[in-house]
Amino acid sequence: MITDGTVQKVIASKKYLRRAIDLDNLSLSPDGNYRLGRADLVCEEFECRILVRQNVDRPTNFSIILMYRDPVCGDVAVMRFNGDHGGHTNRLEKERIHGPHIHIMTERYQELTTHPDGFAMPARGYKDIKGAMIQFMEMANISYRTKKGQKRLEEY
Amino acid sequence: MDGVMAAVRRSICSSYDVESLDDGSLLIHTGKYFDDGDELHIVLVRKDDGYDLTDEGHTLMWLSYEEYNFTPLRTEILEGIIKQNDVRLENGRIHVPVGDPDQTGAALQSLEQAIIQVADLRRLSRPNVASTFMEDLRAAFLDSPFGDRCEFGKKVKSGENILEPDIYVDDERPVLIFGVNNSERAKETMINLLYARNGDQRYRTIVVIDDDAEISSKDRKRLINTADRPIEGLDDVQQVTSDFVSARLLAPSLCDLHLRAKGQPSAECEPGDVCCL
Repeated sequence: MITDGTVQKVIASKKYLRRAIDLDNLSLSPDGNYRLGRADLVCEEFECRILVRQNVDRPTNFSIILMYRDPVCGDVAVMRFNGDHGGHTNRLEKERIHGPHIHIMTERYQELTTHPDGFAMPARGYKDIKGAMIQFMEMANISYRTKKGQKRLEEY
Repeated sequence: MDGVMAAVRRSICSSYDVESLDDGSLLIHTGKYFDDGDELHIVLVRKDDGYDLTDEGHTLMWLSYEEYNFTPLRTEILEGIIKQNDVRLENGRIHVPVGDPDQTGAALQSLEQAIIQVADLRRLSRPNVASTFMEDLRAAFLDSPFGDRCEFGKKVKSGENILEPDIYVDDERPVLIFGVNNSERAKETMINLLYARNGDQRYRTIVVIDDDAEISSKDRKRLINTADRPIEGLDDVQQVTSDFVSARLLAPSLCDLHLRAKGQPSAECEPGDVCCL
């Protein structure tokens, strides 16, 4: 079980990305049905990385995922920005969300469902993958680390 | 009763909905979800020769969120699911050709069922299976005759290094047991084995390798050649370990001096040292 406190700490911890993920040139999956990207994050407290998936047929259907390697539970997705693939329902609250949404891992969903990050909230402020990446990096406290120092995405 | 039937029909139909998308295709809302609450993604797309009811590759993309690997066994199951539901899998897309929109209902049922079954392959994901292996390993030792001497997650010192066995069996020469279910764990275990061998403590080591572990033959060979007692699979783990713990002579490890003497008892080894018996 990963506590809500740990999830929040992982999300809020200072993280650095050495190089931007080139969203215009993501690799193609072997079957050619989606594009994928991956980048390790530099973080003093937690071992984290970003995963990106984007559907080829419908590019507004994408996911940007903050993965955390827990010493006991292994690799888990603590936060996932989804694009518009249709609807999402929070099973426990019976809430229905239409369009882009943000999944967060919670204790409640770990205890009561088969999917740790089954809870999601509506996303405001992004519609495409580039907009989502900006918001994702802000929310996950990710900056770029360059030789000259750190810069946030909006500074580029 | 006719009224009840009509009400049931209306209720079932109301769980479905159709939404027109900007590109002219239709998004079918089925009211059915993946484990994470995301709706199944099903779209009716116009083709030259009719229509195609497709997941647009979303289902396999969804599985890939957890970096799911299609091993030969999983691929075999996937192919079985596709076949038994009378759908097609092409270029990562699960779909059913539909000649006429009137035929959408039957095709939709097949596609929904196939998508849900494919999504359930997630339960065979490495972390899930791996956690089962580790749980089974711990359970096997708890049930063993030396269960009351086992400690789980204990860290032990060997020279200047800290070893992290999955199971520690208290004994005159403690036994460290490492479960290996993936390549990363194989590498960590290898380091632990070397530390155990080269440290000043006299630990004995057992490595239990998961039969289904996706580790290279090179890593597997290294583990087998380095552990005092390698075991493949959980089937005989209790018996083999019991024999090993109670009969120290079966697999003595070499002490540092012994190693320095290139496998021969060293002049500095005391008669009766376990390594030099």
